[in-house]
Amino acid sequence: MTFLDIRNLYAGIGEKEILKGLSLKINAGEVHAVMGPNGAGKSTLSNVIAGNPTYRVTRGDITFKDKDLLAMTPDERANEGVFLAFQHPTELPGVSTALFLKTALNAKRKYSGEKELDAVQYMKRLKLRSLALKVTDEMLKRPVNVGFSGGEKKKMETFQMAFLEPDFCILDEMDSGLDVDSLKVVADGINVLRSSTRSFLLITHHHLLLDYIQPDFVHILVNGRIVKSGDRSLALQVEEKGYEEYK
Amino acid sequence: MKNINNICLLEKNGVYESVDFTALPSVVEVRENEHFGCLFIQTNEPISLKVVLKGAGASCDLKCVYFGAENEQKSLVFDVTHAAGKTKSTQTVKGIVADKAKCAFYGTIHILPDAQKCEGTQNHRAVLLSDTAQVQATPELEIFADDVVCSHGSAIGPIDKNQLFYLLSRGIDEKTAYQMLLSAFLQDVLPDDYHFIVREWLHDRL
Repeated sequence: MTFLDIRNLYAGIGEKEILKGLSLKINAGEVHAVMGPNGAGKSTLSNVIAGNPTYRVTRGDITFKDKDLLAMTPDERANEGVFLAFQHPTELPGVSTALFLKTALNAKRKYSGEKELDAVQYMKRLKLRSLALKVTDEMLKRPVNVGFSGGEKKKMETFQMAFLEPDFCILDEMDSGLDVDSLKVVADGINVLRSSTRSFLLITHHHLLLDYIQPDFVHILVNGRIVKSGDRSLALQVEEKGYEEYK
Repeated sequence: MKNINNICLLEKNGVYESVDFTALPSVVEVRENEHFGCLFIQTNEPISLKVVLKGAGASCDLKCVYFGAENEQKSLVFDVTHAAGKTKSTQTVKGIVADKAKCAFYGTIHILPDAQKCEGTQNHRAVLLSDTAQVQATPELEIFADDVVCSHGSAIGPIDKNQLFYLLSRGIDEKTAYQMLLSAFLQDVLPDDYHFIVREWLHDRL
C-alpha cells in the first residue's frame, strides 16, 4: 500500500495555475518538509490535499492509502486521516471550542464505525492532550480561535491534531508568527505524535522549524514543481544560499 | 416550514414566554417607564407589529429570527413610534434564506417632535444559502425631534467559505457544519431552547 502518492498535479485558483506538475510520494512514518520561496505553491499544495474548494485541480491525481483522495469531500478526507494545521486558522464566533472538538471527534469515530466517547473518556483525552500543549481551560471555553493570539492559534491547531490523532498531518507554515518558546511547545507536541504509522508534511519557508522537528526528506518547491529533493542537509544549504539557484 | 408555525415569545422579567401572536393588540402601547420585549421566530405567515412608546422612559426590544425556503415569500414589519421623551427602542432581526425564497424586512422608527432624548436602534443581518435567495431590507427613519440618537444597519451575505471549510477539514459533515455556523449566527438572538428549529429547518435543505 502506498501511503500518499501525488502524481503530476496541476492546480490553481480560478484561471491562475499555481502547481505545475508536482509529484511527491510519502511513506507511512516519514516526515517530509517542503520548502520554497513565497508564491511557489506551498499553501496551494496543502489546501489541495485537504480539499479546499477554492482551489481547482486541473490535472494529475492523489491517492491516499490507495484511495482516490481527489474524489472525496473535505470531511471524508479528514475522516480518512488527513489533517491540515492551517497557516491562518479561521475564527468561528459563536461556536464553542468544546462543542467543536466533540463534534469533530465523534464524526471521525462514527466514520470508522467506533462508538462515541462517553463524557469521562472524552475529558480524559482532552486533559491529556491539552496539558502537553499548554492549552488552558480558559482557551477551551472560548469560541474557536476567537481572541486567540497568533501563538495560541498555532497551539490550538497542534492540540486539535493531537486530539483527533490523524494518520497524515500537514502543517502549513506552523512556524510563522511563533516566538522561540511557543515554537518549542508546538514542535514538542508534534514530535510526540511521530510514529511508524503516522506521516507529516511540514511546509515552511525557513529552516528554523526543521531544527526542532527533524525531517527524513526535504523538498524544494519552486514555481509549482519540486525541483530538488534530499535529506536534511538540503535545508541547511538553502539557509546559506537561498532559493535563487533553483529559480 | 412545514411543521413549525410562527412562534411569538414575550419577555417577562427577563424570561421569554410563548404566547399566541393573534392575542396581541394591533398596536402595542408602552406606558411611562415600562418595557415591552418580544421575539418572533418567523417560519411562515407574515408578521407586522406596531409599537408606540407613549410615556416618558418607555422602552421596547423587538427581535425576530426569520427563515425562508423554497418559493416562499414573506414579510416582516416592525414599526416603532417614539411619542414621548427619553424613550428607547431596539430592533434586532436576523434571517436565513435558502432556495428561491424572498424575504422582506421593513423597519421603521418614527420620532415625534416632542420626543427629545430618545434612542432608536435597528439592526438587520441575513445569511443567503443560495444564489437565488433574496432579501430586501427597507429601513425608514422619520425623525422630527433634534436631540435624539438613531442608528440602523443591515448586512446580507452568504455563509463564510473559510469558516465552512475549517469545519469540514475537521471531519464534520456539511449539514452539521452549516447547522453549527447558523446556530452561531443566531446565538445572540435565539434562546438555546429554540436552536432545534435551525436543525429541523436545515433537515429539509442541503
